[in-house]
Amino acid sequence: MKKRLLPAGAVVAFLFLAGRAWPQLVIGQYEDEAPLRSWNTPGIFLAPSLACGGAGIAAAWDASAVLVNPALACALPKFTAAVSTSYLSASLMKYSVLNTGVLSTPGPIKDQSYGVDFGGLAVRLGNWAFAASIGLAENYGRPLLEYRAEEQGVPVYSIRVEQTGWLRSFNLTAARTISRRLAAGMGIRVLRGELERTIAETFAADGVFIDDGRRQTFAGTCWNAGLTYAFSARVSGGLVFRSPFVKKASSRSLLEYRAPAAGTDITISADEEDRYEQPWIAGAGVSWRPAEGLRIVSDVRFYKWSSYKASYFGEPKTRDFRDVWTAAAGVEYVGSYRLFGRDVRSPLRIGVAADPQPMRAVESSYIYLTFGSGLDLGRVRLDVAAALGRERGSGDGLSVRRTMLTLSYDLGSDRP
Amino acid sequence: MRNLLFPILVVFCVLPAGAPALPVQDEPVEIVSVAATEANMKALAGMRADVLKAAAGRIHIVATARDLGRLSTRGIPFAVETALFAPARPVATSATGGLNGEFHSYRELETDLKALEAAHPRTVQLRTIGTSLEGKNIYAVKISDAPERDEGEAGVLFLGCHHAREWISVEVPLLLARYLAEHAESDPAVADLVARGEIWIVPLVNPDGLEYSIDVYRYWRKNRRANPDGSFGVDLNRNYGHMWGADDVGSSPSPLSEVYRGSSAFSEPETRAVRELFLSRDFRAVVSYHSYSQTILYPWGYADVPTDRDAQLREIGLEMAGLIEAVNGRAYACGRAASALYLTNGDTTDWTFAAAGVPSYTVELPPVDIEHGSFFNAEAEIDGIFRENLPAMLSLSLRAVLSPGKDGIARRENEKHAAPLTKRDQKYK
Repeated sequence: MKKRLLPAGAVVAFLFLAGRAWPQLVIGQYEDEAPLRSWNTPGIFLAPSLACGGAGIAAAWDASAVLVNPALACALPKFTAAVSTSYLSASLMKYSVLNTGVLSTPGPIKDQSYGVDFGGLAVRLGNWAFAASIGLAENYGRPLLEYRAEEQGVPVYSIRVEQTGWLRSFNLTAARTISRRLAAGMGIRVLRGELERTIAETFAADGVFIDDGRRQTFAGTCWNAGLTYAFSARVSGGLVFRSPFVKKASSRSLLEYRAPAAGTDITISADEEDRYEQPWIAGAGVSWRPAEGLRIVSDVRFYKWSSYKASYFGEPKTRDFRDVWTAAAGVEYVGSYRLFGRDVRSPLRIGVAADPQPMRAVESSYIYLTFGSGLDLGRVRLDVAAALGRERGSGDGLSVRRTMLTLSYDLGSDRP
Repeated sequence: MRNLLFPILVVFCVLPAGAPALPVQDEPVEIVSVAATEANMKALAGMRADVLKAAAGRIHIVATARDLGRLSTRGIPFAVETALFAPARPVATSATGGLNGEFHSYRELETDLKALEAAHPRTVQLRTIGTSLEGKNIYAVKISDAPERDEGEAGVLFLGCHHAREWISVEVPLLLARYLAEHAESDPAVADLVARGEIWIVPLVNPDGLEYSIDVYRYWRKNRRANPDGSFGVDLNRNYGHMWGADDVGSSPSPLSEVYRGSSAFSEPETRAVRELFLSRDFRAVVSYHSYSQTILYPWGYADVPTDRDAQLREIGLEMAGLIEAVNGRAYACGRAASALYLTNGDTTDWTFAAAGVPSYTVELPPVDIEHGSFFNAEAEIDGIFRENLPAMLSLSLRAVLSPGKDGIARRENEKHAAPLTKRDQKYK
């Protein structure tokens, strides 16, 4: 699903929204399992939610809403489907061998990726609603590192460091309208993914080759649940909970030292089972419509990161994490216009978000400014969004730039 | 003649005491040797014995219980040599699997050291002599007949893994600790050694660096100091206090360098931990294990000049090399550090020799060169490398603790030969 950066022309339509920004990552740590951009991955946001800072616990725009709050399936049209694609650029200062002692750069370097990262649908049958989707939950990719040294034009040494990885989420949701004001929902997520890291070194002058290859395949299952409650025609609220779960990993490695001229071939291989004990997440959100066409949304979430535990190739690893609260808020205004002789609705959205990272060693936090727009052509909606994030705390000036394009199809405009 | 006594004594130390019991299974149980006479060769052929090697007038065979019975029945004298080879029965260890294979990570080492102490409380005491920059414990194993008591006995200090990527340098001193603990009651020579003195073993001086070497980058050498210029690491074996920073060849003032000596002598908690341990005890010999090159080095390293006891240091070093070679034929070179390898200022053994005048050696373990693995050793080599070093370890330990003040190496006598201490050394002393 995820690809490396496509030719710039393929994404130029989004880039104008993004401007300049800086991405994130682990600060003062070099764990391979850190998701690119942020440790906090509560669900999958599509363009409308992303444009409102990522808020969406009490507001449903499309089929992805159920990943944040399953009860929102009851707030969607009778049938809705969505597909979304995004471009992500994140700057990283310290990971693996980069700026941790082996290879150094004067400043952060960027990882860029582009891909289709969500597809899903939801249906409403009476008081019941169901949804199914697949999405890219986490990205473990890192910028490729390559260094070569030559003496008088002759290669003497090279090192190449590569890491790719992802976690996909397969989701099923059921929700029910309990009363005119209250709905509840529950979903199950099956997670599958992989992470591959290789370091290849060549000491050409000595005829020595060192290869360090590691591969992990991930599997896990969690559930999430949520409530929505309509306080009035204008105000509604939501509560969500995602269960803690264990992301299990089958980890294999091969470390090899070869000096073919001397017949030396020394290897150490490993085949281990690892566990990444993910924290539970709880959140609350509100949606308020103060006027026709205007909506204000806001969320807070709590991540129980202090319970996070990881093992890596059979060894328990210390991750000194603290619990964190994140917050997001956004404003949406939907206006009507005449376009090509027909009435269309076009939303304008703007949002902010605070995304503190769990590492205790450095109190790192991202502040996001988000915005977006779109076209609502009745059954078909096209939304675009951009998020610019800048990190404070590490002193490295990390940044994130994310742009997203979401295409939705609704059958029946009878949103309950 | 006296020089021969120690090797002979050591050989007897490493041979198991008493005749082995004869189990009835057909599984290989021991490696034994018999004299390489024509009659014995015929007898072995008749037994269809599993011949391992023939050298130096002896034939080594992998013997089953039945083979041992036949040798006894036929009146063929044999010597049990199992201890000189990789163990026929693997020793329990937590270092199995994972990125580091049968080499120890910090956690695995911690687990095994605690288990060793728990299994041998009468001879082993585990102490924490300091903590690393990242807060990991730096452990020292004290092996003595009353390890909980401070008897002020003469001691010998074995150090491992100043340099993170030299994984084998953790294993050799750790296996020595295990060997001494396991033989302290069954082997009279080891029992005598631990009764008369203290053997201190610090198998992992640089735990942070080792973890980085395992998890992130195999060739990492230094500790994990975050330097002001954004680079990482101080070379702990350039951070000791004697002639620290004497020039920029034997160490480097650049934090980017692999041999960065740090901001000052003993700037690192890891070297301070070793210093404080060393100055607090009556150590009469020191060995710091490194790899690679199969070389035994003695001071000075900071300049190619001899100490005033160069001949004695060389004699002991050559004796250690001879003991190693006698085990399996592997040759270790021996020489003054500055000339046999390269200039090193601020290294461990220059400082220990300067501070106390005791025999101080850096032992560069196998392989011999980069083409044969450089800082890599096969997992299967671990026990063999320990076994080949064991007689030399025991020999030096015996020298240090059995003959205090008589053979010219007693610490207090040596101090008058030692180079002047720095102010900082004197303060801690």
